[in-house]
Amino acid sequence: MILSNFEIQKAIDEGRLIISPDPQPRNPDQANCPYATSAVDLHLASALSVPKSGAFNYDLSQGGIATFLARNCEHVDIPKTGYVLKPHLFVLGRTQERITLPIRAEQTLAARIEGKSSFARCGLLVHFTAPTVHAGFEGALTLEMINLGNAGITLYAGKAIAQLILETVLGAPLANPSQFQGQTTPAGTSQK
Amino acid sequence: MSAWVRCSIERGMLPGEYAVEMDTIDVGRISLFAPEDKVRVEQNLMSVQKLNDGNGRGVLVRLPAQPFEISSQNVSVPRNNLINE
Repeated sequence: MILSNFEIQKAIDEGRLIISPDPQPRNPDQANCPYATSAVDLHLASALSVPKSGAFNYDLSQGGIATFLARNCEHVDIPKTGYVLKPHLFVLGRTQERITLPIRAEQTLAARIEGKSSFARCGLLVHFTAPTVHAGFEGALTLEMINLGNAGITLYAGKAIAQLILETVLGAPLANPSQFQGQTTPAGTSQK
Repeated sequence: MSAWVRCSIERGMLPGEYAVEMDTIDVGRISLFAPEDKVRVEQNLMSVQKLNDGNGRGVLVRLPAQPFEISSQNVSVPRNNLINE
Protein backbone atom coordinates (compact mmCIF):
# COMPACT_ATOMS: atom_id res chain seq x y z
CA MET A 1 0.00 0.00 0.00
CA ILE A 2 1.42 3.38 -1.00
CA LEU A 3 1.49 5.98 1.75
CA SER A 4 -0.19 9.33 1.32
CA ASN A 5 1.70 12.51 2.16
CA PHE A 6 -0.09 12.62 5.51
CA GLU A 7 0.91 9.00 6.26
CA ILE A 8 4.52 9.73 5.23
CA GLN A 9 4.61 12.59 7.73
CA LYS A 10 3.04 10.37 10.38
CA ALA A 11 5.67 7.68 9.71
CA ILE A 12 8.40 10.29 10.19
CA ASP A 13 6.83 11.46 13.46
CA GLU A 14 6.64 7.86 14.70
CA GLY A 15 10.24 7.00 13.74
CA ARG A 16 9.23 4.43 11.11
CA LEU A 17 10.89 6.59 8.48
CA ILE A 18 13.81 8.96 8.88
CA ILE A 19 14.58 11.51 6.19
CA SER A 20 17.47 13.79 7.01
CA PRO A 21 17.17 16.72 6.58
CA ASP A 22 13.47 16.58 7.42
CA PRO A 23 11.42 17.61 4.36
CA GLN A 24 9.83 20.98 5.00
CA PRO A 25 7.40 22.65 4.79
CA ARG A 26 4.77 19.98 5.30
CA ASN A 27 1.71 21.95 4.30
CA PRO A 28 1.05 21.63 0.56
CA ASP A 29 -0.37 25.14 0.55
CA GLN A 30 3.07 26.55 1.27
CA ALA A 31 5.63 27.33 -1.43
CA ASN A 32 8.29 24.71 -2.09
CA CYS A 33 6.43 22.01 -0.18
CA PRO A 34 8.30 18.81 -1.09
CA TYR A 35 5.25 16.61 -0.55
CA ALA A 36 3.07 15.44 -3.42
CA THR A 37 -0.12 13.56 -2.57
CA SER A 38 1.71 10.23 -2.34
CA ALA A 39 5.44 11.01 -2.51
CA VAL A 40 8.11 13.27 -1.14
CA ASP A 41 10.76 15.01 -3.23
CA LEU A 42 14.47 14.28 -2.93
CA HIS A 43 17.19 16.72 -3.92
CA LEU A 44 20.43 16.33 -5.85
CA ALA A 45 23.68 16.56 -3.87
CA SER A 46 26.62 18.41 -5.39
CA ALA A 47 28.95 15.45 -5.94
CA LEU A 48 28.86 13.55 -9.22
CA SER A 49 30.88 10.59 -10.37
CA VAL A 50 31.52 10.43 -14.11
CA PRO A 51 32.75 7.04 -15.34
CA LYS A 52 35.68 7.32 -17.72
CA SER A 53 35.57 5.83 -21.16
CA GLY A 54 38.52 3.76 -22.23
CA ALA A 55 39.81 0.60 -23.75
CA PHE A 56 38.41 -1.63 -21.06
CA ASN A 57 35.29 -3.62 -20.29
CA TYR A 58 33.57 -4.21 -17.00
CA ASP A 59 33.83 -7.94 -16.36
CA LEU A 60 31.45 -8.82 -13.54
CA SER A 61 32.88 -12.33 -13.33
CA GLN A 62 36.18 -10.89 -12.14
CA GLY A 63 36.83 -9.79 -8.56
CA GLY A 64 37.52 -6.21 -7.57
CA ILE A 65 34.81 -4.51 -9.59
CA ALA A 66 34.17 -1.83 -6.95
CA THR A 67 37.82 -0.84 -6.90
CA PHE A 68 37.98 -0.85 -10.70
CA LEU A 69 34.93 1.40 -10.95
CA ALA A 70 36.29 3.79 -8.34
CA ARG A 71 39.66 4.06 -10.10
CA ASN A 72 38.05 4.75 -13.44
CA CYS A 73 35.77 7.64 -12.65
CA GLU A 74 36.09 11.40 -12.46
CA HIS A 75 34.87 13.23 -9.36
CA VAL A 76 32.91 16.37 -10.19
CA ASP A 77 31.41 18.94 -7.86
CA ILE A 78 28.46 20.71 -9.45
CA PRO A 79 29.27 24.42 -9.73
CA LYS A 80 26.71 27.11 -8.93
CA THR A 81 26.25 27.62 -12.66
CA GLY A 82 25.21 23.99 -12.99
CA TYR A 83 26.62 20.88 -14.64
CA VAL A 84 25.52 20.12 -18.17
CA LEU A 85 24.75 16.46 -18.61
CA LYS A 86 25.39 15.90 -22.28
CA PRO A 87 23.18 13.64 -24.39
CA HIS A 88 23.75 9.94 -23.78
CA LEU A 89 26.17 10.57 -20.93
CA PHE A 90 25.89 8.45 -17.79
CA VAL A 91 26.82 9.77 -14.35
CA LEU A 92 26.24 8.79 -10.75
CA GLY A 93 24.82 11.22 -8.23
CA ARG A 94 23.43 11.17 -4.74
CA THR A 95 20.45 12.55 -2.93
CA GLN A 96 21.08 15.24 -0.33
CA GLU A 97 18.73 13.36 1.97
CA ARG A 98 19.71 10.32 4.00
CA ILE A 99 16.93 7.77 4.23
CA THR A 100 16.50 5.27 7.04
CA LEU A 101 13.86 2.54 6.95
CA PRO A 102 14.09 0.80 10.32
CA ILE A 103 13.08 -2.84 10.49
CA ARG A 104 10.40 -3.24 13.09
CA ALA A 105 8.15 -6.00 14.31
CA GLU A 106 5.22 -4.08 12.86
CA GLN A 107 4.70 -1.44 10.20
CA THR A 108 8.06 -1.68 8.49
CA LEU A 109 8.37 0.47 5.40
CA ALA A 110 10.16 0.05 2.10
CA ALA A 111 10.40 2.63 -0.66
CA ARG A 112 10.95 3.24 -4.34
CA ILE A 113 12.76 6.09 -5.94
CA GLU A 114 11.24 7.58 -9.06
CA GLY A 115 12.12 10.39 -11.39
CA LYS A 116 10.11 13.51 -11.94
CA SER A 117 7.98 13.94 -15.03
CA SER A 118 9.33 17.40 -15.85
CA PHE A 119 12.90 16.09 -16.13
CA ALA A 120 11.69 12.96 -17.91
CA ARG A 121 10.30 15.14 -20.67
CA CYS A 122 13.82 16.45 -21.21
CA GLY A 123 15.12 12.90 -21.46
CA LEU A 124 16.59 12.51 -17.98
CA LEU A 125 16.50 9.23 -16.13
CA VAL A 126 17.55 9.38 -12.49
CA HIS A 127 17.48 5.63 -12.15
CA PHE A 128 17.12 2.92 -14.73
CA THR A 129 17.30 -0.11 -12.51
CA ALA A 130 17.26 -0.91 -8.81
CA PRO A 131 14.61 1.63 -7.70
CA THR A 132 13.77 -0.27 -4.52
CA VAL A 133 14.96 1.01 -1.17
CA HIS A 134 14.73 -2.09 0.96
CA ALA A 135 13.55 -2.27 4.55
CA GLY A 136 16.54 -1.77 6.83
CA PHE A 137 18.33 0.58 4.42
CA GLU A 138 20.19 3.56 5.82
CA GLY A 139 22.02 6.18 3.79
CA ALA A 140 21.80 8.59 0.88
CA LEU A 141 20.36 7.16 -2.33
CA THR A 142 22.61 6.76 -5.34
CA LEU A 143 21.15 8.07 -8.58
CA GLU A 144 22.03 6.37 -11.85
CA MET A 145 21.50 9.29 -14.19
CA ILE A 146 21.54 9.28 -17.95
CA ASN A 147 20.44 11.84 -20.48
CA LEU A 148 18.47 10.06 -23.19
CA GLY A 149 17.46 13.32 -24.85
CA ASN A 150 19.11 15.07 -27.74
CA ALA A 151 20.12 18.21 -25.86
CA GLY A 152 22.12 18.81 -22.72
CA ILE A 153 20.35 19.01 -19.36
CA THR A 154 21.75 21.37 -16.72
CA LEU A 155 21.84 19.82 -13.27
CA TYR A 156 21.95 21.94 -10.13
CA ALA A 157 22.83 20.89 -6.62
CA GLY A 158 19.81 21.19 -4.35
CA LYS A 159 17.32 20.76 -7.16
CA ALA A 160 14.37 18.44 -6.50
CA ILE A 161 15.28 15.70 -8.94
CA ALA A 162 13.58 12.56 -7.69
CA GLN A 163 10.70 11.46 -5.53
CA LEU A 164 10.38 8.79 -2.91
CA ILE A 165 7.34 6.52 -2.81
CA LEU A 166 6.76 4.79 0.54
CA GLU A 167 5.08 1.42 0.89
CA THR A 168 4.24 -0.84 3.79
CA VAL A 169 5.95 -4.22 4.05
CA LEU A 170 3.66 -7.11 4.91
CA GLY A 171 5.14 -8.98 7.86
CA ALA A 172 8.38 -8.47 9.74
CA PRO A 173 11.44 -8.88 7.49
CA LEU A 174 14.27 -11.10 8.67
CA ALA A 175 17.43 -9.28 7.68
CA ASN A 176 19.97 -11.77 8.94
CA PRO A 177 20.24 -14.64 11.39
CA SER A 178 21.15 -12.43 14.32
CA GLN A 179 18.54 -9.75 13.86
CA PHE A 180 16.15 -11.12 16.45
CA GLN A 181 18.81 -12.72 18.58
CA GLY A 182 17.89 -12.59 22.25
CA GLN A 183 14.27 -11.81 21.59
CA THR A 184 11.71 -14.00 23.25
CA THR A 185 8.45 -12.87 21.70
CA PRO A 186 7.37 -12.14 18.15
CA ALA A 187 7.09 -8.47 19.12
CA GLY A 188 10.76 -8.44 19.98
CA THR A 189 10.75 -8.19 23.75
CA SER A 190 13.99 -9.55 25.09
CA GLN A 191 14.21 -11.40 28.35
CA LYS A 192 17.24 -10.56 30.46
CA MET B 1 28.53 -8.97 17.62
CA SER B 2 30.59 -6.41 15.73
CA ALA B 3 34.11 -7.14 14.52
CA TRP B 4 36.66 -5.71 12.10
CA VAL B 5 37.88 -7.49 9.01
CA ARG B 6 41.17 -6.80 7.27
CA CYS B 7 40.74 -5.44 3.74
CA SER B 8 42.15 -2.96 1.26
CA ILE B 9 40.42 0.42 1.11
CA GLU B 10 40.44 3.10 -1.58
CA ARG B 11 38.44 6.22 -2.36
CA GLY B 12 34.96 5.37 -3.68
CA MET B 13 33.00 6.72 -6.62
CA LEU B 14 31.07 9.19 -4.47
CA PRO B 15 31.69 11.02 -1.19
CA GLY B 16 30.77 9.09 1.90
CA GLU B 17 31.85 5.71 0.58
CA TYR B 18 35.02 3.71 0.07
CA ALA B 19 35.89 0.95 -2.39
CA VAL B 20 36.81 -2.11 -0.38
CA GLU B 21 38.39 -5.40 -1.43
CA MET B 22 38.65 -8.39 0.87
CA ASP B 23 39.26 -12.12 0.87
CA THR B 24 36.61 -14.71 1.65
CA ILE B 25 36.79 -18.41 2.30
CA ASP B 26 34.14 -19.50 -0.17
CA VAL B 27 34.09 -17.05 -3.08
CA GLY B 28 37.61 -15.66 -3.27
CA ARG B 29 38.23 -11.93 -3.40
CA ILE B 30 35.19 -9.66 -3.35
CA SER B 31 34.64 -5.91 -3.54
CA LEU B 32 32.02 -3.47 -2.37
CA PHE B 33 31.35 0.18 -1.62
CA ALA B 34 31.22 0.60 2.13
CA PRO B 35 29.83 3.65 3.97
CA GLU B 36 32.58 5.79 5.46
CA ASP B 37 31.40 5.16 9.01
CA LYS B 38 32.05 1.44 8.52
CA VAL B 39 35.74 1.65 7.68
CA ARG B 40 38.99 2.62 9.35
CA VAL B 41 40.94 3.76 6.34
CA GLU B 42 44.37 4.09 7.93
CA GLN B 43 44.14 0.63 9.45
CA ASN B 44 42.58 -1.07 6.42
CA LEU B 45 39.70 -2.38 8.49
CA MET B 46 35.97 -2.65 7.76
CA SER B 47 33.25 -3.17 10.35
CA VAL B 48 31.23 -6.37 9.97
CA GLN B 49 28.65 -8.17 12.06
CA LYS B 50 29.77 -11.57 13.23
CA LEU B 51 26.98 -14.08 12.67
CA ASN B 52 28.59 -17.25 14.00
CA ASP B 53 31.98 -18.66 14.83
CA GLY B 54 31.82 -21.11 11.97
CA ASN B 55 33.99 -24.15 11.70
CA GLY B 56 37.67 -24.45 11.02
CA ARG B 57 39.28 -21.36 9.56
CA GLY B 58 36.15 -19.48 8.45
CA VAL B 59 33.79 -17.13 10.32
CA LEU B 60 30.41 -16.11 8.92
CA VAL B 61 29.96 -12.33 8.87
CA ARG B 62 27.47 -9.84 7.49
CA LEU B 63 28.98 -7.08 5.37
CA PRO B 64 27.80 -3.46 5.55
CA ALA B 65 26.85 -3.52 1.85
CA GLN B 66 26.35 -6.07 -0.87
CA PRO B 67 29.46 -7.03 -2.83
CA PHE B 68 29.51 -6.98 -6.61
CA GLU B 69 30.65 -10.56 -7.00
CA ILE B 70 27.92 -12.39 -5.05
CA SER B 71 24.25 -11.84 -4.24
CA SER B 72 24.52 -12.07 -0.47
CA GLN B 73 25.87 -9.80 2.25
CA ASN B 74 26.80 -12.83 4.35
CA VAL B 75 30.22 -14.38 3.64
CA SER B 76 32.79 -16.54 5.38
CA VAL B 77 36.05 -14.75 6.04
CA PRO B 78 39.36 -16.22 7.15
CA ARG B 79 39.48 -16.29 10.94
CA ASN B 80 42.95 -14.75 10.82
CA ASN B 81 41.55 -11.67 9.06
CA LEU B 82 39.00 -10.94 11.77
CA ILE B 83 39.59 -8.72 14.78
CA ASN B 84 37.01 -8.82 17.55
CA GLU B 85 35.96 -5.55 19.13
